[in-house]
Amino acid sequence: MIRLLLRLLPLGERRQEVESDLLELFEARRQTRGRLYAYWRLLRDLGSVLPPRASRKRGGIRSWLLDMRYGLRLFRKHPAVIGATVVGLALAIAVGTTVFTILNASLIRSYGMANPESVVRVQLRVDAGISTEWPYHGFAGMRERAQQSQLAASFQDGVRFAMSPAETSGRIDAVLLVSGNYLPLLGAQAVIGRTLQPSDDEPGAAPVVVVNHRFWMLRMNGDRSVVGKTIWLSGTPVTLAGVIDQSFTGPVDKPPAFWAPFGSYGSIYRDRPMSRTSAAQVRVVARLADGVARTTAEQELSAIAVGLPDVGLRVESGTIPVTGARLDGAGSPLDAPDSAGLLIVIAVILLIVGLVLALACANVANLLLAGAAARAREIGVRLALGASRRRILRQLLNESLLIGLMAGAVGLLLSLWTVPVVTRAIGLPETYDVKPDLAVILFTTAIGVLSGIAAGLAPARHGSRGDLLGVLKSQSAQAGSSPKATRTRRLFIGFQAAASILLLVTAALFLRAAVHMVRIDLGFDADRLAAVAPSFPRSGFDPRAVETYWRSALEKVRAMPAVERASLALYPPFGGAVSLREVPGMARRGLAYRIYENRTDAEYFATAGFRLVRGRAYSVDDVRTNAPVAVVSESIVRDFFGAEEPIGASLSAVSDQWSSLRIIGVVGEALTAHVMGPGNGTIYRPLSPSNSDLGAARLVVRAENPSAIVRDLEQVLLTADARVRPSTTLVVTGIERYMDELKVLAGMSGAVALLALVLAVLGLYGVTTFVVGQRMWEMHVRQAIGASGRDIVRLLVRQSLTPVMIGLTVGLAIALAAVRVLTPALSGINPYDPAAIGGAVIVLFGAAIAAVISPALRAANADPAAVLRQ
Amino acid sequence: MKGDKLGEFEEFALLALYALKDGAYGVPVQQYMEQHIGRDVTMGAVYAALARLEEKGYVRSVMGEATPVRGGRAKRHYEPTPAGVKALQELRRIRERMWQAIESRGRA
Repeated sequence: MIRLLLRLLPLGERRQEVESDLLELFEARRQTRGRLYAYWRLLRDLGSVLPPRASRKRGGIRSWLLDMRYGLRLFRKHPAVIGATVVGLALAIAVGTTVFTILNASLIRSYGMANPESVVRVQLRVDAGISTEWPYHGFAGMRERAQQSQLAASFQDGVRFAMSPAETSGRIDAVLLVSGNYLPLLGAQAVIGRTLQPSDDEPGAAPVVVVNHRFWMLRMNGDRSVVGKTIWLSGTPVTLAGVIDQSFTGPVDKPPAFWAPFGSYGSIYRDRPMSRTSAAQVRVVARLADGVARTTAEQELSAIAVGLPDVGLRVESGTIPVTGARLDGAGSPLDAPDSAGLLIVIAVILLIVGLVLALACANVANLLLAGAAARAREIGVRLALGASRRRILRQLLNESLLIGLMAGAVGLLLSLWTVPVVTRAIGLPETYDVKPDLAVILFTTAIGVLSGIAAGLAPARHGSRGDLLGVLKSQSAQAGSSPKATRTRRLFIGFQAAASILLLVTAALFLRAAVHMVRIDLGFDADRLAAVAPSFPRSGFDPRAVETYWRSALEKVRAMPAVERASLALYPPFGGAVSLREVPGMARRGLAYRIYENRTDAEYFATAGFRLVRGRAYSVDDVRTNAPVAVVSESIVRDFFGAEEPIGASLSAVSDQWSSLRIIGVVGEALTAHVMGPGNGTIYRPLSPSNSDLGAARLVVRAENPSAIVRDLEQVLLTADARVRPSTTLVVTGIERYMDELKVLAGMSGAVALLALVLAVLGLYGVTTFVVGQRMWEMHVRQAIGASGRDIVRLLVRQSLTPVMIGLTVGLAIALAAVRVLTPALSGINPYDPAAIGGAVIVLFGAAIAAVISPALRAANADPAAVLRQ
Repeated sequence: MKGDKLGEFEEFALLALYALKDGAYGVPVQQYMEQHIGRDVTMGAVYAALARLEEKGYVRSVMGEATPVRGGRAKRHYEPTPAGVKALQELRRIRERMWQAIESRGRA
């Protein structure tokens, strides 16, 4: 790097001597006084050997300051227009900064580990793939034998956190259960108290946890005295041993609220302690020993993994054996195996941000172009007095750079306010640290400078090419701008219109989808339902025990007076999970035809309140015997049977795998999935007591006011089996969360589109004002020879709107081609929804007319005699 | 500006060359000067001083052969000319005479 730097300097004939001397000195100083000192002295030496031209240097800075002062004076002359432009750019930069801050906090920021380059994720190779989680005993066995690396493991669970035994928290926070060496191995530091240590895993160790710094700040009010005291996790007292440094998250997708040692698992979850016989599945990370290459460690762990007993992947037909271990970098989120998809998401988001920024830049550019044209005389005079074109170019670039930097500063301030709003809206866990760090500030400065330069480039080129003679000869300063500048300006306006319509259409579609969802008939009684997800202990609970539990639980719950009905389903409405089957050959508008599949007991239809259209629901006997029957929703009948009688028909028309199933009933269409996109109907099949998925089933309870019975319900369920932890959600909550997602999407895309629209209108208004000002003379000549005010307005409006119309057409074409990708997120709204697209066009067009009409009217109303007399 | 007279920094540079004898080039000169003067000396100042000395005829330089030690780079060797040595000795004589005068008057 130093060599490169030296190569670039103008050293003349002494180059060889200076180069070798400085390198030798650098090396000597680095060895005796350290790298930093060596660099510092090198810089001073470099400064001293450069040809002496101090005078020029000082002149450079002074003239730069002059440029800036000149620029500021210009701002004072047109405060409204320039102010609006700066604000527009600042808003765009604020959007960019907000997005980047969140990306930075969630995806880009490091895990805060010490020496992250030697941390790897350890996965097991099985026959045809990779197993990311493996049994605890496999980890324990491998940890004992590994020499080239040290292993640590973790798995995630949830707890309800409370500061006292009397409280019960309504929310579940994430706990990462870790081997005692996990935090020290990754280099996590405690800011208060201590971190976890291997001794926490020893038998008989007191239950402890350490807490995430953000969580401690927000939920414990940053109270230093809580460290060392007892807190309650899901009703169990544990000692809070320390607060982990805020930079540390560890190699996980989402930072947990707590880290607890494996040794405390049994106490916190009232389960057997973790041991070699635990069925817990863990994720394993390792730190390579000093100087050990990843491949060396991989070979060693592979050899150990193959020899481990009983760690293969269990599937229905048996166990797939482990063939080795695979080590992937775990130093940062971008090292993760699925980082390609992540990068695409980041790229798309940055593309939209870039589009908005480009819009704002086009504004600044347009403004400066108009300014450059108006200043043609000034520039001509300066050129005539001997200013070099480079000097003029620099002046103009400096002005736009000044705008960029001012906007960047305002944008950064704005983002301090927008970031919390947006993080709350998208529901980012509070354990994320979204304070702007150095990366964010650098990013904002960079986009400020870049957009300043980008915006200034075209105007500066036009401006510095000032036509000397023509300008000086003409008596009027309003000499009209060059055709080329006019063309560039129209191109910018066209581009703004195109980008605005693209973003407006997107926002309009999301808005329609959100409105549509509010009014939609779900087809079942969502507000009367609650779903209970039990969490069975990790050991000692076989399928028979699960069946027994369900039988007793159902009996007890149905006996509750407040409960109208209770039943079992694999996928309760809006429970988050679904099972989907795609039907080939039925794709619509390029989207796969998908059928939701659910398994339920006999009472589910009455519990959920589905409308039975024909036939019957399956009976208790059908469920017990796992009869080959199915209840389908109306749209399946419509799409596969048409006018034929569906009752008694086989489902072979839908899928070969279902050919043995007979339809016995048809229910009305119900929107039950918490998944965006078109569901094309549902089939319901009996959930027999022998089904192996019974452990994943949910209890669906129907009550007049489900939120009022949650507490009693969970108490009753604990009497069925105290080892099973019930966790209840209201179906309405699931729907609300889904609605919130839509609202957030509509709100955010709406905000971005609004910003784009404002920017476009601002640009159009500014440019029209300038153009009208320049053509004032011409307009008055027209009026003097008989043009009416209306003619003038019509002329100006038409000419100003032509580029808008062209941009709008192009943008609409792009939008129509691109909106299809949005379909999955629109919950059934047609992406070519005429109301949304028409609305967007009308809004843009209306705004454009509003932007040009007032300057045009001003031109028409001025007193022609006054102007002509000048 | 100074004609054939030696400036203070030039004198130090020339002394360094005289002390280092033959084979001296930029780096040793800078290191020697920094060590004896006791403050940071930039390479630029060293080059400038050597160039002025060369102009005045007190120093001559030769481009040396490339050596394997410095990555095959050639270096410029400097040595004082007889005129340079004479100028140094002249300065030293003047200084010693003046000091002697001070000290003898002080004792008197």
